[in-house]
Amino acid sequence: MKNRILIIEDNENERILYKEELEKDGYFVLVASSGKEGLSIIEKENLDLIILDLKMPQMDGLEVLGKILSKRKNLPVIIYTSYSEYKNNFLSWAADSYILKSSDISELKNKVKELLEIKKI
Amino acid sequence: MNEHYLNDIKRDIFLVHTISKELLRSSLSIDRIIHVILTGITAGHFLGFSRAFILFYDKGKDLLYGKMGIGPFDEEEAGLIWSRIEKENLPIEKFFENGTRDEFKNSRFNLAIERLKIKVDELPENDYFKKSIKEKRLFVSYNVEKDENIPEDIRDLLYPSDAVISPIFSERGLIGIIFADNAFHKQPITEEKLTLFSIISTYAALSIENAFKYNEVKNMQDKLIEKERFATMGKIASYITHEVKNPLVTICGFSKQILETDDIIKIKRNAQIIYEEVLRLEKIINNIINFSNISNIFLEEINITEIIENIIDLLADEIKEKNIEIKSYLFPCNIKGDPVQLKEVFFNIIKNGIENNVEFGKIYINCEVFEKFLKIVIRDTGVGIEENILEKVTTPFFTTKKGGLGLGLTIAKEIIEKHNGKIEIESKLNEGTSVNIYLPLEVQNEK
Repeated sequence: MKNRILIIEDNENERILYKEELEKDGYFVLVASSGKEGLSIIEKENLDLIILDLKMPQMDGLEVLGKILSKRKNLPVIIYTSYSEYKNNFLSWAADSYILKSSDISELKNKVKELLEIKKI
Repeated sequence: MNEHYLNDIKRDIFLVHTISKELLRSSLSIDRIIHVILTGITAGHFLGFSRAFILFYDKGKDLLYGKMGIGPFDEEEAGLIWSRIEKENLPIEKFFENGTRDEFKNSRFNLAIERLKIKVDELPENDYFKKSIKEKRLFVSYNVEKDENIPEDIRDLLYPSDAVISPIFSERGLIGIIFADNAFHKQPITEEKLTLFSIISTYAALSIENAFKYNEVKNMQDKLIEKERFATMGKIASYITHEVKNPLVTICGFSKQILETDDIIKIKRNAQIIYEEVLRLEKIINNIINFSNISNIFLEEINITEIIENIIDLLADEIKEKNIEIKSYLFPCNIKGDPVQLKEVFFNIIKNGIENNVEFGKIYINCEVFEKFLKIVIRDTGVGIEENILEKVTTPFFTTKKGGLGLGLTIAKEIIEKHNGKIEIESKLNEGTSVNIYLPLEVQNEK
């Protein structure tokens, strides 16, 4: 059974990239282009991990994070953003990981792997 | 009272009056003030001094250094100058107009004075320069060229004459020393002349002090303007970082995929994405660049609509946060302007429109052609400005915002005026503010 990952990211090209890269590692990947869409997927789907962008129009990533936490307490969340300043926002501490976007995507891939392994144990 | 004496008094009052008038006109440049003072002391036969100079005092180094000197260097020069003056019979005002400061700067006497450096603590106790500082009073030296109470470096420049040495004090302490001699005129230094000399020294102190203060305030103001610009630049820089980072992530990721695959369809798709992202990057960089300094404007063909739309993008967070609705009715209009500086103008004005607006407020932006100008109106539905403070909004440091520096509109006004345009602000309390910007459609004279 493949692990199921949801990517919430408003930029289309980034969405495609992360989806393909994670699929290569053998995950089943769902995508959402907004916080609202992401939350409705979380309601319906069985998920193992969420990758969340912070800066999105309409609903801010941190707001989405708050809603996710109130719904699904033990679902690991990785914040994946180019904004370092949110790191000091206490809400972001609730995420399992805060990774700054970089041209090297392997940091994200490794973190996904690590968090899913912890989950299995 | 005899008539001759009365005439002298009249002449003296006239001299003081003329000097103070010149000082008032002389703006706030220290060099110009000193030039007026020294010219007043040495002009024609009024006070009867031939040469005068000012030394400034550097407290940190305990050093008197030559600031400026006016007068003939030797007998020959003196002869030339006096004969010319007598021939032309100039009234005193003419002396201030005559001869620019640059001319004096290169005179031999001034050059000799500028080289002077005197360590105060190395002077003997009886030295008049030292004593005038200590005792804060004026000294007269007879046969100054031989007087051992005068520093040697200065004596070397002197001719047989009598001289006055007077300190210039202001509230913050010693500014310097004025020296004047009667080398070539040989007019005796009388009690009346000394009184007059003191009055002029006091004027000198006041004016120099004033100029110092003005320059300090001016410097502080420039620094604050700079600070405000840095704050704006910080915002821009953070925007650039994020906007540039995201395309880089995708460009790198997709190109790496190309390297790892032989699937031609995927390669082509990735190349397409990379191509798009590079265009996006270029657009971002063109959009913002950095905020350069106001003093130079670089005119180029610009599209005002595009500039305003960029600024709206830049302020998207603030707009969203306050649920502001932007209603912009713009038509593409090309004018000549400095894109970077105009961005700063619209950034400041639209940002004000957001910050002073109410929650769920609106900002209307439209433009029209008005006479020879493009008129851009930015109107908000905010709290408005009281009538009695409306005039002040473009003065530096006037602000109603907590933590605001009050320079946004000052800078905007300056930039628009550099473009030969103008800015109008209309406002009604609790209804909103409208900023009208006029930019010339045709450029007549490039500044």
